[in-house]
Amino acid sequence: MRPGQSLSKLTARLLVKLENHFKHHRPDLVLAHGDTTTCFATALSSFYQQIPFFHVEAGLRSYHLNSPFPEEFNRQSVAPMAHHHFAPTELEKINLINDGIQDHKITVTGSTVHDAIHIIKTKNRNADHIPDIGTRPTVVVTLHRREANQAMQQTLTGLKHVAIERPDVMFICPIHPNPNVQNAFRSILGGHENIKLLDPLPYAEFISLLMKSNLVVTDSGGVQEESVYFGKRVLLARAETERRDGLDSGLVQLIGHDVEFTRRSIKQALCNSNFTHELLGENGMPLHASETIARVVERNIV
Amino acid sequence: MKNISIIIGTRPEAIKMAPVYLALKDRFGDSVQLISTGQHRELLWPSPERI
Repeated sequence: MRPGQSLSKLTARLLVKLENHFKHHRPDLVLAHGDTTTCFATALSSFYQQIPFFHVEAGLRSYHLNSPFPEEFNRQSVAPMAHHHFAPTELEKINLINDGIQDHKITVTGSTVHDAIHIIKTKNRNADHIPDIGTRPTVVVTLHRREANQAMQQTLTGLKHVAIERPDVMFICPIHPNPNVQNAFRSILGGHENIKLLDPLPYAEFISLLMKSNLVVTDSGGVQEESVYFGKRVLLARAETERRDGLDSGLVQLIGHDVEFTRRSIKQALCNSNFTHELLGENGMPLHASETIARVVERNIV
Repeated sequence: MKNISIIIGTRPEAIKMAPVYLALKDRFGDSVQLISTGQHRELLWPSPERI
């Protein structure tokens, strides 16, 4: 992110860049993912250039335009511009159909993050990318949401209380590089023996850390998805989520941002879990999202 | 040859689109391009082959 990057400037910059790219390379088909400003600008620019746009991870909805901000708006506005929608599950397909998208323009694929994790676990097996986390039970903490500065401080304060009460548990926090997030973590959680504050980890290392952890506290939908894949218990520090992963099975619990509720929820999860979860995720998760997407692209491009 | 562009801007997109890029490259070879908009620059980015 550039310093002081506003959404307007970012969107304008991306639209111009993308138009240049499209004019120069003349793609026959464009793909983008999810709900970022990049995805929104890609859909809009493809539409302006009349290039078919295919949307990966389509159909997630919170139905609150301001939460997550601006991602919910991005998703909703991308849908009418997309030629084809790749929905992770039937639920997202239903959301799209309720939005008026025709059935034949939607393919349910599963999540490509499962493919990514699978590649890491098979291809990179020999690489030494397991962070040293010691022998104590481990809680992985990641918080980054931009609309939640005050809320983040409350979550961190609740967490600090647990860390003081449970010196037998290690808290590992890879911190997002955003300066506000860095400051909040360092000022609230700094100076505790059982709290490790880390720079962001390469993805393979982060996945290894997740695999070895006992509990995850996060406000990230992506980390929620990855943790559930490994059957990890997740406390979601958000008021709501557009991702159903793990909510129905009880692996994921929404805990909001209240200091005391955060403290109690983490303590309870540490007691209840007994640190012996079944690896729900690795079995029964569809693994071929990317292949399915590639097949649909192939059908549409000849 | 048909050209395909995959556009990413943040690390999560890089991770989740890497397998899509690889699957498309298997079928379409070098006509598949992976393009970053540079929306986020500060996080560590994986190359698609290593994710």
